[in-house]
Amino acid sequence: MIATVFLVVAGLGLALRGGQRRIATVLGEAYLLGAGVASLVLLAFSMAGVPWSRGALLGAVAVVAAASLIGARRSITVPPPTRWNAVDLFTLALVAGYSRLALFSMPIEVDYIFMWGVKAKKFFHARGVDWSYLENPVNIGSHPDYPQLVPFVFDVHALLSGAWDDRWLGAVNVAFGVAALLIVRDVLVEELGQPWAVVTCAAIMPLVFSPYMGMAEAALIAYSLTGLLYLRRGNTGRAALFLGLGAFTKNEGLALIVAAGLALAAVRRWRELPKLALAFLIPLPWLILRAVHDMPTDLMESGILQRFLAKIADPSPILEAMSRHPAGNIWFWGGTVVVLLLCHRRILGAERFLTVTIAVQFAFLVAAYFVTPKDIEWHVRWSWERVIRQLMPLVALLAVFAGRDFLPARTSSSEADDAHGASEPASGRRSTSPQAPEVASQAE
Amino acid sequence: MLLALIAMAVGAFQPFYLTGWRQDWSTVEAMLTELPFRKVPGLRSLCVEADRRIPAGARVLFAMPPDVSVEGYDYAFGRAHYLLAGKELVPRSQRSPGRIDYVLCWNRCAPPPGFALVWESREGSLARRTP
Repeated sequence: MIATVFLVVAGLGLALRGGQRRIATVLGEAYLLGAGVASLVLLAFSMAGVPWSRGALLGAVAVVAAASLIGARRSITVPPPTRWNAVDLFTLALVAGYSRLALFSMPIEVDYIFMWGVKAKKFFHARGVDWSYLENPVNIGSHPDYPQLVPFVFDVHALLSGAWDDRWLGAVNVAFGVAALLIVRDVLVEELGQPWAVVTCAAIMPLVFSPYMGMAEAALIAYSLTGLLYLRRGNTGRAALFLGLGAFTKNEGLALIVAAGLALAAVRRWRELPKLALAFLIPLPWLILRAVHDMPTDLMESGILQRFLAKIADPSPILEAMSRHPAGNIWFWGGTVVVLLLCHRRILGAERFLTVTIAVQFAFLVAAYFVTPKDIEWHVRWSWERVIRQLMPLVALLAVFAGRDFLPARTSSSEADDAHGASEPASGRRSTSPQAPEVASQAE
Repeated sequence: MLLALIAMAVGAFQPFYLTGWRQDWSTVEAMLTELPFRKVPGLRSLCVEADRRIPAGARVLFAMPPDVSVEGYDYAFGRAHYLLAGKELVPRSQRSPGRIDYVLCWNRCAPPPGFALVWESREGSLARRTP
């Protein structure tokens, strides 16, 4: 709890920058940005040879937080929060149930024990990135090359408490989920009006909160959702910040920046590409370090072209494995197909950016199985559902955005006015296209 | 259209988030804490106990009876690595293991020459290099 509050405070100054934000969005963003700030501080300490300690972490983060708060002073204009109702209580009950599940014991996922947790624990005991552990071929199974934001967040918890205690690390999953849902809720209120926003929020809660405790999916979903929602609305600078942190969370985050860039090109927003490219600066130090320390990604093992050509020639093992281990269920995907058919004009028109991003990212996720050196049955079984779940919240939001015109009695004008109050341009012009830049980007 | 969106919501819904409160969490917690280690009974408690007795940074050879398969050893070694993350864990397959300070053995094995038993339980034993 203390660590969560610490991370919120650490990111508060950055969250308050860049135009008006509702208080829920500010808090959600503050946690996401605070986790990024603290992680980058720990990485910087390791690069500079400074041993990790509670004092050093508190001092460095305090400097960053204070500097960003001073700079943000002029832009602190927090609109009143949106109204909450009974459906929000239902969502809250779901979040409480998820939290109970997340906090019943230490994270028990195998990938937590073999990858995310063991690296965090090693780093904590070594008081920095343990290069000897990462470089040791014995530990190749821990994927030393993976971006380190989530292990570093675990280390923030350990450094602040003074000891490694994994009993409550499920709180990290909860915090990333809550942060993402707060941001998504405010976006939905602005897009759909209050009644449909809270219903949608309740419906997508199980997609936003990752069921994989102790793994990086929760953080990746939070950063991806936030980044893409900003990019969809034309706030490219802010989107780059969150997508960059997503790339410092998982390799799929790196792919997502490329997917988003291709989507920008598809909607002819060429001028925003250089700004989006700034997202690569956040994971860049880690990418350089892992190259220097010779920690290649397993998918890139030599023979990648031969593997790809062989599997393209006969993709049936991959497709059969995917059919044996399906991701999601018939209700979700059946509903998705119907929405795609009914709303194809909007999906290929006003929502083309989000559609192309999801499609390209999906292609990247599938392509990984065409180059993997691992046994395909094993690889699909233990990753397919998990990686597709990264996209499911985006698919759900795309369906809602595309189908918004079909929703009965969307909202009263007063509610819409109230909902749009936070982001309406000063001119009073209401943007009907999600690609139209909004006030937040203008403020930047 | 509305039915399609409802279908998506139904597909996404996780009823356990609401019904989970009816669980007897005290028994579930104990069961789930052991779950990641269930294929090597006693591994978790062996490593937790050993962790208390081994100083930070010590080099520890993780041993299992020779009849344990490579897959079985890898399963246990990876998990022991997490539980003993403050130490440098050495696998039995390492050709030049260098100086070993402790030998942690799951199940039963006699301490190798030059090592003295410092602790044992039903789950295994811990031996330290003799001066």
